Amino acid sequence: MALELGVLVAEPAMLGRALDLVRNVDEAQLFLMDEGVRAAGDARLAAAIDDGLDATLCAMDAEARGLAPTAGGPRFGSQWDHATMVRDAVRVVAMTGGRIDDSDGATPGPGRRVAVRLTREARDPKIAQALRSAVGYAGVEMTVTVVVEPPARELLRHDEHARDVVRAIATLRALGHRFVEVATSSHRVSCDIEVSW
Amino acid sequence: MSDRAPPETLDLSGEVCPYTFVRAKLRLEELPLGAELHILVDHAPAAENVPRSLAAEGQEVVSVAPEGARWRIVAIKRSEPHLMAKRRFDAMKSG
Repeated sequence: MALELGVLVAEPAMLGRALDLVRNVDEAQLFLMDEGVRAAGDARLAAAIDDGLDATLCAMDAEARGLAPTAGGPRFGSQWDHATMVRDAVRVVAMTGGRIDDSDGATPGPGRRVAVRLTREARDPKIAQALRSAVGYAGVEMTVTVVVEPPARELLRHDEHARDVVRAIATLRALGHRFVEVATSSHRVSCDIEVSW
Repeated sequence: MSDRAPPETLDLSGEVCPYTFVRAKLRLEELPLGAELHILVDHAPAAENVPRSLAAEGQEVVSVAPEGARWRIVAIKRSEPHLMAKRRFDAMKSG
């Protein structure tokens, strides 16, 4: 059966809204990463998993925050789980802590075009998370465009960023993915799925 | 006597997600079908997640075994990944 809905949560406060979205969907996945992993112990999430929700979190982000697997909690997975969810779900909703993206109707599968929008200053830790997830998208054969909004412009001006940021940029470029600088947040690029950070 | 080439080893010690699964996939891309690849990881989640991602992409995971502070994942290439059109990945390797 096709995956109807994939929801990315990168802020714990978004959990309730995410659970509202998946509640009446037969085939839904939830992926927690970044600060969103702090919602792993939420009783509402445990109840949803008990009701059949497929929920996974980024083990690396959980480990960085001292969180361990719990009985009845989400599975400790990887960015591969996140990337395949974004690749394969008919509808993708991304709640990273900024704007909420809701992409629907594009053909799922390899080759799907995903735009990762960077809306924050280059040194914001969420930029590193955005770029890490973009590498994951590239790893499951999606076509990635990194959209650099004005607050993140410094990212492309020099290489004096955190090591993981520099590496992710180099990796995406080496793999042939694009970086596009836009003048305003309303400037859209052609894509199937959008994930804003 | 087998004419299969000796297995290659990809040491991913020190690597974390997503570079673990992406680099494993890239290395497999370079190998012929039927080739055996030994992947070493030292991040516990990778010992579970890398084999799962490889299997989901049609590769055969023969074994996953602890080896000191690391894990050795033995995989056989059974399908052609089409990740990067044979592009080399030096930027990622150098970090």
